[in-house]
Amino acid sequence: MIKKIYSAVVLLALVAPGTVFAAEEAADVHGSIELGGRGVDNNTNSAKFEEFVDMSDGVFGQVQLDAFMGDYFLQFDTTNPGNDDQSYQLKGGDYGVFKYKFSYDEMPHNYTFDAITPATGIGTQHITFPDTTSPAIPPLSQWTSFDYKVNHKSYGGELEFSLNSPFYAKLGAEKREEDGLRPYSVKQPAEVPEPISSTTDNLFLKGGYLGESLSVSLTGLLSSYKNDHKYMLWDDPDDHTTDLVVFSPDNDFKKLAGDLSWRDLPLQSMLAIGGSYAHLTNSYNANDIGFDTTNSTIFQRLIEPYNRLTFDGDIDFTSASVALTSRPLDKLDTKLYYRYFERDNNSSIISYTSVPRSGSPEETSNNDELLSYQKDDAGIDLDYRLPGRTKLEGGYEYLNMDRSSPAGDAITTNKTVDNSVYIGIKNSTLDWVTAKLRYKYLNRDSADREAPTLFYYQNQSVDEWKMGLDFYPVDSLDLGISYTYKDIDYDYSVDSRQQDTRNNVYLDATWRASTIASFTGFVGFEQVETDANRVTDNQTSPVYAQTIDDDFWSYGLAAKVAATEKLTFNLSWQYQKSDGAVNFDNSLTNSNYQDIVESDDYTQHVLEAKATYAVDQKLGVTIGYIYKKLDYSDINYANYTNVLDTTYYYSGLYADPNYEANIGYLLVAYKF
Amino acid sequence: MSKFVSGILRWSNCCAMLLLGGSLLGLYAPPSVFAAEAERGTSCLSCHEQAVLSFNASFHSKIWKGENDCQACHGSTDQHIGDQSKTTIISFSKNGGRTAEELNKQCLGCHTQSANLALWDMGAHKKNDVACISCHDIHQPRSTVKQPDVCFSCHKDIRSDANKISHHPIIEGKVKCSDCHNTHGTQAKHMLNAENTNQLCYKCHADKRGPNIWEHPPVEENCLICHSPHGSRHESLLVEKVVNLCQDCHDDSSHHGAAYDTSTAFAGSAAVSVKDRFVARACLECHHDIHGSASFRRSLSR
Repeated sequence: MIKKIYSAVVLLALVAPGTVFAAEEAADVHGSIELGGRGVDNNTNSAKFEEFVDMSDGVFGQVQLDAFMGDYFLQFDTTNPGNDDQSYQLKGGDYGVFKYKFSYDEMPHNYTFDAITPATGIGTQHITFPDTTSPAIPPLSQWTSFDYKVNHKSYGGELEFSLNSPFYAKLGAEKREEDGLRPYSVKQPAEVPEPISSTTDNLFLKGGYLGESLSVSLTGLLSSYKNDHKYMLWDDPDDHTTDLVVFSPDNDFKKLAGDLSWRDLPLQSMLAIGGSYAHLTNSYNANDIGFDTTNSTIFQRLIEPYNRLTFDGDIDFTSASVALTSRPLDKLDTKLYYRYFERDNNSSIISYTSVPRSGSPEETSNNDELLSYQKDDAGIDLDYRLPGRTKLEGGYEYLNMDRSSPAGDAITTNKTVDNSVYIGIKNSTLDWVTAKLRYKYLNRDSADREAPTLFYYQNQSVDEWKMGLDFYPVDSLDLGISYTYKDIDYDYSVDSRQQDTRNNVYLDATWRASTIASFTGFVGFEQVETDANRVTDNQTSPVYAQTIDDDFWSYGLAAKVAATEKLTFNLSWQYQKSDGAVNFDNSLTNSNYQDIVESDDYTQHVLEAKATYAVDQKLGVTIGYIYKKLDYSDINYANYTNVLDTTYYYSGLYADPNYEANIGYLLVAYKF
Repeated sequence: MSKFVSGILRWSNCCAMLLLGGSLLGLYAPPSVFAAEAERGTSCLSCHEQAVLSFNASFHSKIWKGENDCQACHGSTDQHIGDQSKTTIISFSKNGGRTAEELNKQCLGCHTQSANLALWDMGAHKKNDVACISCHDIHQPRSTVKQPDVCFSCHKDIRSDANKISHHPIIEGKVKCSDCHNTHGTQAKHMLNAENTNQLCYKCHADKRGPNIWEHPPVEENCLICHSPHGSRHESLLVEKVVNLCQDCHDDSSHHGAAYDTSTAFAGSAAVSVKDRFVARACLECHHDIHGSASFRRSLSR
């Protein structure tokens, strides 16, 4: 059947071009087709080289089509059809009457190729490790090989009707599918992949009114996530039991949201009001996720007395927002806003008396982990225009977070209050330069500021400076520089982060030297220094201090030269260098920790050269070459071994992302 | 090789569908309504030939069907004919002498009644004097913004992040800036297309939505506590290397607080227990359900 359909389509395709050209006068159809062939020489089988794209040898290209027929328009786009990263989009309609959009997209996510494991059953919901007592673990050559890779597909469509009226309705549906093997581990640790097979279905309906001064909309959303693999069994090689890991549960999400905006109010004001309510649920019992409550030898901990063996997930989300922008004075713009967000977790409390394999029984419950919170965010922004195309800006924001759990207190911090202010100035008196300077100060006050850990929830003082200059000294030259300095002091922190300091600088230049040549370049430098005190083994005061220093350089150059009317050359080069280090201060307790000099270090080179020859106004041919190289090194992967201490198994995940690749391609482009 | 052949077959199939669709559209197309095109902009053509011709080939021109001339956007040309400087007309050039607000007024004259622009006044782009023309070129066949390049021209820190070794597939074109941000204004911070960060992330990462029995509260509060959304020099878009990030909250007991130095690597001292080492993915080797666990028993994996 598929063969017949395919044959019919191909036959029709043979007839189609004539029909299109015959109809060309009646319809306005134009677009482009690019079709190319590619050869790839990669010295490794690095997944990083093609993390989100299909870079295999073969055919690639894209099609773009625009058609107008009377009141109707249609746009069609496809990129890399036939490849693993193909995408298609079709949209069209009658502007002001109706519109539609359909899309299909595929994307690979390649983590690591040729990983290995001593376990069997990879990709299923039951994996088995060889018995380590007799015989010993098999040699690496006998391990199972697999790729950490997840394929993503999404497809769906939208229809919108307004029928030349101020009212409109929009209906959309989308399905997302994931399939493959994702990084995971069991047995503390043995790296094995999580089998992935899941779908997410989204359906939304939106209706509204768009008037000259008033617009209103109401949106409903249904979203359902289904996971085909809710758990995985694994046979422990050490104690010969079958154990269990549990994956993401199914869930259903429903949301209703409304928005209103009202313009042309006094003082040139605009009022915007929004609100939403959402409900996230799921329900499953112990058997649904692989627990065998009758078999004490397999899942012994689950036969302990549980308060219930069914979990009902139930979380409400409520939001509200209101904002008012005004121009009370001719040169003053103001914005007042308030946003509210609430997460109310009413999910089941699961509790039991744990009997660890060693040690005393202890009560265990999730009642202090089910997070509920309320967030209040209010502020004001002021912009005042001074003479000479100068603008002064300032503002204040108050953000309050109240957290709780069924146990009462939140496991993190019950309350944090952020107060922040900013002031800035922007000047473009001269047509050829724009200068900006901005300062922001934030103070975070934590209810549990005496708690020594949890950096995010600590008291903080944040100073941030931003500066930017854009020059256009002549029409053909654009120059830009921006600089950001940020300093975070964790005022009461004892054994966590003490201070973060960040410096970011970016330089850009574009020079259109003539009608036949242009050049662009950029340089970026980012530096992050994090100071932390650390404790070990339940000590009450810091044992050592640590400074984490991350530097990141990037720069690039590109040139485009039209050698003749028909021949154009493009050349570009990009370089990145990441240099991290962890330095120790052993003076606190006379410790002897050694500095780490390789911490997510890498260099990356990308060189691209291409020449395009325009045969005529419609047909062009491009021949191109790309060189890509990655060198990564990190202490966590240095001297990598697949077996550590005889019973810890590593699969090679992320161990060697390095590559050096040469890509050559020939591309023919036709415009019609 | 089989993939190569398969690719060619799928390609031809696609082209066939495309041409078929095009032919059907052509068969049923009514007579052209673009006769007025030749006359549009005739008064401007003598000086601005390229601009007029490019506009006549643009989406805006086709949709307007001859109902609007150059003056719809550029204002009256009466004074400009006598004095051909940029100041005698509404010029969208960068040194045209007009403020972003003045230029945007020309666009909003038609587009105010658009659901996408209903909250333009609320957004950061309006506040920061971004002109529509900074992103949209309506003289092009399509005025669709070329993401992410156009966005990167101002957001250089984001360009830097998106090109790092660990990143969302933005530069690959699989995630667009507009998937997460409504650049025309929203009521949310950073012009997000959702009430907050987590609600936005869950649109694609529905598996992280829960509800789980065992939660990791920072995860449920804000994904950005741990992740840098555009990209990072650290694995999995983390804001910091995983060991350092975890120890910023968990270094007070057990092996959580083991010092992370060279002795804890693969080649480190044999005296250091493997559970106190930070090899490969470090903490995540055992704590694999860091986003929450649906298990009934409280696993250390969370």
